[in-house]
Order: sequence, then C-alpha cells, then structure tokens
Amino acid sequence: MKTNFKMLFLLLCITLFITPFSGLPKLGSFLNFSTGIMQIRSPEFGEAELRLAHGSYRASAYLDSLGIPHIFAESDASASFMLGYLHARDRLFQMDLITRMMSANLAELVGDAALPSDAYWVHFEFSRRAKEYAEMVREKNPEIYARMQAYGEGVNRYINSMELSDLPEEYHLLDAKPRRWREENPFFLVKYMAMMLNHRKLDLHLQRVFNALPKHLVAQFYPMQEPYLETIIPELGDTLNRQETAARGPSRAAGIASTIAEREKRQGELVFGSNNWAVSGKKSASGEAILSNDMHLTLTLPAPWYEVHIKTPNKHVYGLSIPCSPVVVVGFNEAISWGLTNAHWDLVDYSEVAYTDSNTFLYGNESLAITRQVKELRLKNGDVRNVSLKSTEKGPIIRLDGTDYLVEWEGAKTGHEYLTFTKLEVASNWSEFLDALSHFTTPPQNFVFADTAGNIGLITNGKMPIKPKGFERGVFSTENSEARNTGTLAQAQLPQIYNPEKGFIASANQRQIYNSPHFFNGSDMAPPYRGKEISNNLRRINAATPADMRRIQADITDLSAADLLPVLLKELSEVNEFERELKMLAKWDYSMAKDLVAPTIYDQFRRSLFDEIRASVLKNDEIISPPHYVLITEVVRNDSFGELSRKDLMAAALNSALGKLRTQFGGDITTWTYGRYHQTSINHVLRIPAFSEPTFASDGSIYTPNVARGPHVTAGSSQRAIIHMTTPIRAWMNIAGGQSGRPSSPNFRNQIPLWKTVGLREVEFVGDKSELKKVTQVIHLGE
Amino acid sequence: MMILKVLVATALVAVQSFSLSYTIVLITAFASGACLYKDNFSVFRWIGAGAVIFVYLLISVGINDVVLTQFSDMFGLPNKYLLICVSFLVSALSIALPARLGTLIMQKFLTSETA
Repeated sequence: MKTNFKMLFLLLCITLFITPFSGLPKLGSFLNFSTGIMQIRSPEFGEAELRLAHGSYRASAYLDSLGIPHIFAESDASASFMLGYLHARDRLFQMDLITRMMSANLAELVGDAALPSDAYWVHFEFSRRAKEYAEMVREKNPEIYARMQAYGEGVNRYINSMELSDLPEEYHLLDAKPRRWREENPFFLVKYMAMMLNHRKLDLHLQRVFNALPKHLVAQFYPMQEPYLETIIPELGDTLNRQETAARGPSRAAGIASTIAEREKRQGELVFGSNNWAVSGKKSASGEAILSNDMHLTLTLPAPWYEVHIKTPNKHVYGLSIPCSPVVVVGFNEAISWGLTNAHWDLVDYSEVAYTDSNTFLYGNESLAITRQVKELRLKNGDVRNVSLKSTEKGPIIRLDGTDYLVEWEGAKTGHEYLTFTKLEVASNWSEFLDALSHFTTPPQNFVFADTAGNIGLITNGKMPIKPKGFERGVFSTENSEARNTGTLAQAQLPQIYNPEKGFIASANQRQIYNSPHFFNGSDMAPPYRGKEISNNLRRINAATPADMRRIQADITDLSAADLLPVLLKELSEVNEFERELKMLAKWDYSMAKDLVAPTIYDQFRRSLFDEIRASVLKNDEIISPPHYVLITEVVRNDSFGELSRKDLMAAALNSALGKLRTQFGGDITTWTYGRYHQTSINHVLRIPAFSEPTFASDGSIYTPNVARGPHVTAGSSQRAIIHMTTPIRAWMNIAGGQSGRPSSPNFRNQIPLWKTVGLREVEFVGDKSELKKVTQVIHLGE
Repeated sequence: MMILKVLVATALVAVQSFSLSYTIVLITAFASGACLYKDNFSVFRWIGAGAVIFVYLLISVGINDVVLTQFSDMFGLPNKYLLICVSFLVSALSIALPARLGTLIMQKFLTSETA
C-alpha cells in the first residue's frame, strides 16, 4: 500500500512536469538543463567560419559585427539559398508567424487567442492561392521559381541542421517546433503586407456613421475627399475638378454591426505613415541625386526588415529584405535606388449579400453561385474547429456580427509582386523601373526613384479600380455591386511624375493628387502636415547633401499646431484661467521635443478637442473618428458648431486637457515635459516584456516627419535610409531593432540606440569581398 | 553490478549532454532506476546523481548570460542565479522522479511475481 502511494505520488510529480498550465510551457522540458532554455545559443556565438554543401549552389556570406550579410554568389539561385538559410537562422519564428497568420494556422502555434484571426483569414483561402501562385510562377517565370525553390531549400537546410540549442526562444516558450518551409510561402508575405497596409473595414465604419448622424454632419465631418493643402504631386492639379462634399442618401444597409472596437474608433490615430523623397542632381551639392526613405510600421522586435547585400553575375543590390522572401524590397543597385510609402487606397468593398437561395446571390443583375466547404482550424491542444466557408468568384462571404458580407478586396487577388522586385534589382533607368512596377498590384505604394544620372521620379503604383461617377461610400447590397468598380486603371493613368521642375519629389502618405477626374482614391489618407513640412524643407535647400536629408528625417516640427494654435490663442486670450499655459504655447515653435512642456499641453489639447467634438457636436462616441485634418480644418474655419461657440469648445477642450495632465503628472506644470507624456515602446511580437525594449521618452508626433504615433508610441520609423547616387554609390541605413530575431542575440536590438538619435551608419556597398572591413563571421556554401 | 552502474551513469550523462528530447530524458532515467532496482537508491540519492550531471553540463557547456537575464525577468525572479537553482532542481528531479518510479515498479513487479 505504501509503495502504491509512493508510485502514485511520483507519477503525479512527473505529470506536473510534462503538463502545460495556463499558457505556461511544460516546465519539465522548459527548465531542464539539457532540453530547455539553458541550452539556447544565438548563432553569433557559433563558429567564425562555417561550411555548408547543398546541391550545385555556390555562395559565400560575409557577416559583419551587426550580423549584416554580404552575399557573393555564383548565381541568383545560390544567393537565394544563402539568404533563405540566413533568414531562417536569424528570423525563423517571425517567418513562421507570418506564414501561419495568412494561412490561418496561427492558433496551432500560439493558442486560442489567435482563433479569431484564423477564423477570418481562412475565408480568403490563401493556402490554395499560394500553391496556385507557385505553379503559375513555375510555368511563366522559371528563373523566379528557381529562386523561390532555392530560398526554401536554404530555409529547410537550416531547419534540418538545427540542434536544440538553435531553437528560437519563442518555440521553447510555446513548446512548439518550426514547420518545414514550402516554396510557395513567399506568397503569404505579400498577403501579410497587403493585410497590414491595405485591409480596412472602412465601408462598415462609414456606414455606421451614415446611419448614426444627420446628413449635414456627415457632409461636414466625413467628406468624400478632404480639403488638401499639400498633395504628393501638386503638378498634376492641386485644384483640379474640386467636388463639393458628397452628401449621403438614405442608408442602404440596415444590418450594420452594432459594435465597434475602441481601437477602431480612433482610426485617425492608427494610420501608418512613411516618408520618402528624392532630390535631383540639379538641386544637390554633388550634382547627383539623393533618395531618402523612412517607412513607418508598428515597432516590433524582431524588426520587420533584414538588411542584405547581394552580388551575383546577374546583379549587385543592397537593401532591406523581409524574412519570408528572397528579394530586396527597398534599396539600390549600381544604377537606381527606390523607396516606398503606403498609398492608402481604399481597395476593400463590403456588401450585404442579396441571397436568392442558399447557393446563389444577386451581383448586380447577375445570379452568382456560392461554393460551400468546411475547413478545419487546428488548435494548440490538438483540437480541431470547423469553419464553414462560402466562396464566390468575387470574393468570400464572411459573417460579421450576424450579417453576411461579400468582401471584395484587390489585396486578396493573386498578383506578381516577386516579378516586380526581381526586375527592380536589375533595373537601370526610369523606363525599366516602370516596367518592373507594371506587375505590382497590392498593397499600392508610392514608389520614389533616383538614378546615377541625376534623375528622380515617383509613381503611385498598384491595381486601382475605377469608381463610377457619383460613387458613394458605405455598405450596399450586392445587387448594387456591379456598379461599384468599372475596371482598373492602366499604369500610364496612375499618378506619376518624372524630373519635376522644382528638383524634388516627396510623399508622406497624403493624397497623391487632389481630385482625380476618374477615380476615388480612399479617405483615410494621412493628414498633409508631414508632407508639407518635408516639402517646405526641401524647397529651402538649394545644394542638398545627405546631412540635410538626415536633418529632415529628424525634423520634429508639428505643422498641425500652425493651423490650430493661432485659433486657440485668439479665442482664449482673455480667459485668465489659462493665462500661464497660453503664454507658454504662444512662445512655442511647434517643436515636439521631449524636454519641452508646451508640446505636452498642445498634444493633449488636440486630443481633447477631438473628443469634445465627438461628444458635443457629433454627440456620438460609437462611430469612427472623422479624419484628423477635417477636424482641424473645421475648427479653424468655423466659429461655432450649432449652438456651441468655438470659444466654448476650445475652453472645454483645454480645461479637460489640463485636468488630465494634472491627474497624470501633478499640479506643477514645469514638470510636464513631453518626454514624460510621450513614450515609445518597441514590443516583442508576442508582447513578452523581457524580450521588448524598455519604454523610453521620445520626440515627435503623428504629424512630424520624425513620426512617433503617441502618446504611447508603438509605431514609427521602422527603418531609415539615405542613398546618394554618386559613383560609387554611398548609402546610410539603420533599422529600429537589429538583424537577429533571437532575443538572446547581441544583434537583437543593438541598432536601437542609434535609431533613437535618428542616426545612420554607412553601409559597405563594395564589389569585392576583399574590400569588406568589418567581417566577423563567414559562411561558405559549396564543396 | 558495478559495471551496470557505470554504464547507467554514462548513459545518463550522454543523454543529458546530447540534448535529446525531454521524453527520452524521462525514459532513460526510468530505465536506469529499473536497472538499479536492487540498489534501492532513494529520491535524494538520485537527485545527487542529477546534480553531478548538471554541474558537469554547466561547466562543459556554460550559460548564456543574456538568456539567463531575460528568462529571469520573464518569471519575475529577483536574481538571475535563482533561475539556475530552479533549473538545477528541475533537472535533478527529472532524473530522480522517474528513476525512483522505475525502481519501485520493478520491485513491485518482481515482488508480485515472486509471491
């Protein structure tokens, strides 16, 4: 009996070691010295020289002290193999997350929290489309297929050779193992970027607005196209065909979801922003063009970007790749450079499904078939959840809050973005640049260009549906869907400019052109303040240098204050209650510097003003916020809103702002420095504090070129680059993180200190490995 | 019997050193306990054996200080060396518990068979 009890007790103890409890890993294996976290070694601690052999691939990667590889390969496929191997070595978990998310397989890795994501993305059937895409590439572009295949072999070569000590930390925590890489997986990255940069529920949000507000408020605060003071390409007609605000007819969709997430209400605060610009040779001190790019994304660890230098007999390219794909996404070769900002085109249409029976629905006058199938979603505990899919030739039918919507999204369709980037790597002039972009569909981007001949250009490229005249936003029945889009624009019709007279071109996610005669291009564009400040800076410079470009990247002037502050000072100048704060604001130069107090008061006031308008003018807090620029413009040009005077509105907003700041920081106004109020976090993708950068005080705002979307900043410049198109080309780069995705690696976040100072380091773009000066590790591929 | 003991000890070190899966660690320890059932080592003696292996691995492999700091932070441990202590305990128990179970099952089985 005693022995039985002992055995039972021992069995119980062992069970405790091998059972995961409430999100924790299995503690036995996790903490055991030989199988757990004590074994973790990041690759930088490995051998200084490593030799691999795989088929006929021949390449060498020379890694510098930051972990940046310089790949010299005998063929493009060999270079792709090496890049796949290095991506896997440094970013395996990140790659797994991206592919699992878009293939609706995330819950199997991270748990039930990812089930809503899987249950949504499974409708788009990207797994099937990925296979079809790979098949299409194999037939039409065998050279690209060979690169995809080699890249996959490189990833799998690393996975297969992994020892327990190589398993990334996250897998130990999740008690999981990486999956074998499939050659079609790069497709998921394109869909991931499209999801992040283009997939919005704007139709649903706007329809909720149309249902909730009277027409005159919709017309005033949610116009079809906001008044704009600085478009990307003003040369194409800044005041062309200005339309009056489109008034909204009666709602055509009664069943709009009654709930809106708190986060979605503040959409204006969520829009990503990026900057890119180019200065032509005639405006630079050297006579050569200069290109600048800083792309703003959610700041995460690992960083989204992976810097790489590749030289093969076919190409010589340097830039930023994204783990999951074998191409350089932004960067330069020996002749041209290019950079991106998001175009914010509205490419998602939600329509209520007009069923005719359970297997057909009306799309315009046409009856379309619905294909039904059941897909399995796998959970971490091994369970399976079934999801019913309804597919149509126009897109999936998805049930949201009790209503069935047909979701038509250009981003879900299969494009050929890898052909674009493959061609960009070897393009040598504007014409070849445009040819490369002719294959690019989503997510639409403002592509800026500069070449070694001093030329510059910009094109907003992507698949742009043509909206019919009289087009209205919101949710309609599929019976009206046929008329929503009437074709797509040819590349020649897209907004573009080459060698503008003024000698520079700049974009900052604002509207490309004011009012196109033939298409509607979205309504969640970024306010024009960043773009205007960048252009103002560039106009002032006559002999631009890379140092000037860096100063513009670091610019923390918030031009929204130039619009709003004079009105505030005028309206409340005689209110004694605010005398001290207003004096401080009156002396302020709109610099969002972390050691000043004025930006704290201004930023909190602006937010409180928007809240006051929602509460007192719109009288509805369950709708998406109007675009920021409209809010500011309406306050500037109206001295009353119904019975509410602007003076009262501003007094209430300032009073509320000061109250919030007193609660947060105490009564001594001199201690309200912006750095205490405006702080940045760079979180690990699983939001694990120990793997995240500790929160720090930061300059900037959502409207400054050095962007920092606050006050709790989680998005900003994910990278910065300046490329001077001299011969040889000189370039400077930095990313908000590090090359490695391994939290224990010295290269996990070692670029952040420089990033915080908006600093850049010069890259080594050399033609021969013997010219490299900072090599610390070498990987040879071949016999 | 001495040869068996040496073989078992060597197997345990080998399994722990070669970073195999935790299941194999448990099975090996269980088998070791079953093999040495006549010695009737207590849990504490097996913990001692586990500790020797752990110290051997600690010296031969070393510890990644960054990993130690990050995971100590994650579990809210006041000192990173506490994580080594916890890991020590788990590693030693991972040998002691299944080994003792192996011994007991073997003894029980043989006793029943004899009876």
